[in-house]
Amino acid sequence: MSDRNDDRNDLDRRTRELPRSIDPPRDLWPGIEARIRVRPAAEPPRRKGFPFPTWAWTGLAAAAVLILLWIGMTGRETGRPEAPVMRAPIPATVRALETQCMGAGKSLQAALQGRESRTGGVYAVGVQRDLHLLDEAIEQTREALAEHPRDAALLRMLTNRYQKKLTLLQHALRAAGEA
Amino acid sequence: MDRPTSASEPVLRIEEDRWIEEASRGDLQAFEKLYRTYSGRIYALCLRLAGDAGLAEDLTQDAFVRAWQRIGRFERRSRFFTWLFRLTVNLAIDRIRWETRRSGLESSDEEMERHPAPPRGFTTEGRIDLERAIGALPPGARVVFVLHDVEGYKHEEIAEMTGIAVGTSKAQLHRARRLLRERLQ
Repeated sequence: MSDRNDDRNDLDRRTRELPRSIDPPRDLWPGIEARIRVRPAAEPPRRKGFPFPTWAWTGLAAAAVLILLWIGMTGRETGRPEAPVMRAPIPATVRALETQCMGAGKSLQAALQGRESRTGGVYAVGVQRDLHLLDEAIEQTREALAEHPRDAALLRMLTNRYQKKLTLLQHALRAAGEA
Repeated sequence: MDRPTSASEPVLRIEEDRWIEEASRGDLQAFEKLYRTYSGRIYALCLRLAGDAGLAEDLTQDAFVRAWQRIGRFERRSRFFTWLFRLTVNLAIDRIRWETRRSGLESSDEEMERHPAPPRGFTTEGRIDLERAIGALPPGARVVFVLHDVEGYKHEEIAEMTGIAVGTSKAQLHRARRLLRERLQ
C-alpha cells in the first residue's frame, strides 16, 4: 500500500514538474502567416442572444446533416463550381491525389446509395465533418500556395492533407461496404 | 474556469487587450505578438495531447489560424489564453479522433506495448521519460490525463470540452495513472 502511495506521489511530483511551455522545434509563424495572409479580415463578432430555441437548432442540424450527407459530399460532381479561390499550379503527384480523392468520393456515393438509413448515423456525421474540415484545410493551403508558390512546406502540407482525405474516404468506403 | 498564465509568462493585460483589439481589426503584427506570447503553451498542450511532434506542429498552426479567423468573436468573458486553449483542445480532439479512426487503433492498454519503452528510472532524464510515457498512452486516457493532471481542469470541465461523461473521464484518468506508474517503475 505504501509502495503504491509512493508511486502515486512520485507521479504527481513529476507531473507537477513538467514545463507548461515548450518552444516548437522550429518557428511556426511563417506557415501561419502564409495561411492567414489570404484572409485579410477576421470574422465579425457573432450576434448575441439570437432568439431561436435550442430544439429548433437541433432539428435544423439533423435535417442539414441528412442533406449534407448526400448533396454536400457530392456537390462538386453535380455541377457546383469549385470555391472561387486563387489557384496555384500544383505538381502532378498532388493532382493525382486530388483525382484519387474524387474517385473515392464517387465510389463512396455509389456505396451509400440506398443505404442511408443504415450508414447515416454518428459515423457518417463524423465523416462528413472531417471531410469538411479537410476540405477547408486544403482550400486554405492552396490559397497560401497561390501566395507563396515556392514554399516547399506548404506543398508538403497540401500533399499530406490530400493523403489524409483519401485515407478517410477509403476508410468510409470500407465501412459503407460492411454496413 | 479562467486560468491565469504562469508567472514565468508575465503578460500585461492591457497590452494583450490592445493586441487582441488590433488583431480583430486585421492587424497581423498584433496577432503575431499573441502568437509569440502563447505559442510555447499551445505547442506543449498539442504535443502532449497528440503524442507526436509533427502532429503537434500541425495542430499549433491550425489553432492559431482558427484563432485568427475567430478573434472577432472573442467576447472577453475569459482570458484570451483560456479561449485559445479551449479552441486548441477542440481542434486536437477532433484530429485525434480522426487519426484514431483512420489508423484503426483500438483504445486498449496493450496499445502502450506497441510504443518503444522509455529508459527506466527517474534521473535527470525523468521529465523526458514521463513525456514519452504520456505520449504512449491510449488517446482517450492521454487526453484526460493531460487536461486533468497537467493542465489542472476538473472532470466536469473535461467532460464538457471533450463530450465524454464525467464517469468516463474519471475512469480514463485512473487508467492513465495506472499505465504511467507501470511504465515508469
